[in-house]
Amino acid sequence: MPVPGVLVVCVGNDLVADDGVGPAVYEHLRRRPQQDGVRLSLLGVGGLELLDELEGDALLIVVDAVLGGARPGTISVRRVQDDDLCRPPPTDAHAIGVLEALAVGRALFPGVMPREIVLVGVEGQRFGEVGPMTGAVAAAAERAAGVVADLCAEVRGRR
Amino acid sequence: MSQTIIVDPVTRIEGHAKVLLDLDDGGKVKSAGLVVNELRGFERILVGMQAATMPAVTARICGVCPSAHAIAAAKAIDAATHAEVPVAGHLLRELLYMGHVIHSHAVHLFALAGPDLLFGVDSDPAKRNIVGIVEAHPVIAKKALRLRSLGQKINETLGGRGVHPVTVVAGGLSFVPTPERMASVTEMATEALALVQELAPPIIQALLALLEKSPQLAGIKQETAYLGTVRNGKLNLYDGTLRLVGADGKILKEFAAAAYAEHLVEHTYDWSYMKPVFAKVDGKEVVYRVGPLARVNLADGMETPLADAALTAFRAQWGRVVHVTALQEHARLIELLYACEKAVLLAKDPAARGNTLAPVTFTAGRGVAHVEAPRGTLLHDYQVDAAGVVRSANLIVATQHNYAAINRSLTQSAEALGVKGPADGNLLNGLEYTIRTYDPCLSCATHAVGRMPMQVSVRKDGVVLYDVRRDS
Repeated sequence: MPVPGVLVVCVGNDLVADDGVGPAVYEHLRRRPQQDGVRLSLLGVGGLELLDELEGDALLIVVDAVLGGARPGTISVRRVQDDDLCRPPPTDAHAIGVLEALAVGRALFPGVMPREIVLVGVEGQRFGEVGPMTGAVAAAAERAAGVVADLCAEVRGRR
Repeated sequence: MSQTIIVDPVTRIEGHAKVLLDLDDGGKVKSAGLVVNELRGFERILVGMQAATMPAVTARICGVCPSAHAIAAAKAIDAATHAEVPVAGHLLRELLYMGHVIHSHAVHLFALAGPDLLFGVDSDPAKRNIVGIVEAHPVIAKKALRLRSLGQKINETLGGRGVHPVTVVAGGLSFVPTPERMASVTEMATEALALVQELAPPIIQALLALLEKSPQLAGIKQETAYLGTVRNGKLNLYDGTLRLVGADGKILKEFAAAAYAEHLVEHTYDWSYMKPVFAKVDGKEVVYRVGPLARVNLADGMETPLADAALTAFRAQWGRVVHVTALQEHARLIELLYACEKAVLLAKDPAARGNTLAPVTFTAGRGVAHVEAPRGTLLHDYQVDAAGVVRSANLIVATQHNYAAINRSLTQSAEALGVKGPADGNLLNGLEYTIRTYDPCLSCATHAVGRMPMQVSVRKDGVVLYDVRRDS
């Protein structure tokens, strides 16, 4: 039986200002040496497509822009708890968000759910326009890729 | 004294929006409008780019309908360059696109409209969501998700793995699928067709039960004109001529996408960034709708047998031209059936084998093309110079066509619901539902994780009197 791996999913739209940070982190990770057992995926708006990616991994890392009131470029690492999936935010602006998709997965396809889920967020500021990322957000992308790589290495070390 | 109520933002649709409700002196609804605050500027960034990149670049505009943009752009650049796309190129693009439609319609019916259909529009918003459906109807949920996944996989098998199709290019499709790949697509399309036939009865049943439970929904209708695409009179999503019918179903005109500017006119509002579009008929500007209901209303019939039978049954029950907004979901189901049948036919078509790509040479020129996106007619219009660089671009998306009708529907819903003060959950639910039935993409794919609570602001003479919030 294969050893459970790590799935890294980057979410966002590289045309839309700070929403581009997920794709930017994806590009940084692609340029790094590939780690064994780590799968990397870019998922646009990150809806139900996420379910197609799940393979019962040890860890799922979701990288996305966040709006939490912190300074632009602030990186946050949050472990998604069971409670987060019990009651996903009903007012997500998107069709189906990451947490909703994971909540669906947990209810219907428990066999492919990751053992652990971590959200690596990069605080964004501008989401209402086409254009480049805010400087501080763009600068955070590479650091966020480092955070993701460390998380992957940590899981590999545990095996 | 007139008042304005703002509902902000609307949930479970793309982008952010708010609704303005203008009240008259007596406190009754005078008019309503969906305010789109965000200026996207997608067209602006296209200018100066290589025209050949338009399919790939415009696919990234929208995370929900990337294939629709990619195909509309590819067809427009085909037109600008007079590229002779091989038959197999067209058929495989169409097959890829059917995969996208299957995915998109399945998601909409199951995840976006499903909660309304199965729980009712007045149910608790905390439960009226996809997780609620999964808990209440796990078997249906699994089948619907499988259907969505099959559509997505058909799209990816021909379009390339990832969010956006990369094989759709000017001149056709950039690769020739192997027989094994085509066999896999045929298998997936066949399974999708079987699944949609299983899912259709419970969806129709839920819709009927909803209309019985909430009879006011049958009263929410718009007697507008309808615009959509037909080929030989039959509904087509990939290509054909644009047909405009009146509210009575009479054909007002048919025209090629390239002539859209002669028949459609864009306007601006000073209170919203979105530009509504009207049809020009006998010197008048006419409000029309696009999308599944529009398409089934204006088509003579469906090209595939099961979908055609479904349309016949639909018309027998609801009439030849249907204006009830809630029945949009039934129309979407007919199209979903069509997309599955069409995918099977295309996958098995011997003409879909062989060369898929024609050479493309740029000369200065204009290219206009369209596709029926899941939510309605999508037009791409490019002026390209001799070096193959885009000099101007104009995109008309489904929501723009529907915008005037959305505002009319909102006015009508608000009038029916009435405005009852700061804790008016029914008003929020009703207006949300009305907007969702149009499935509008307002800003295309901005994404951020974060709470976006609903807010109602009541204004009087431009001054906010009070806010009503729903934070969870």
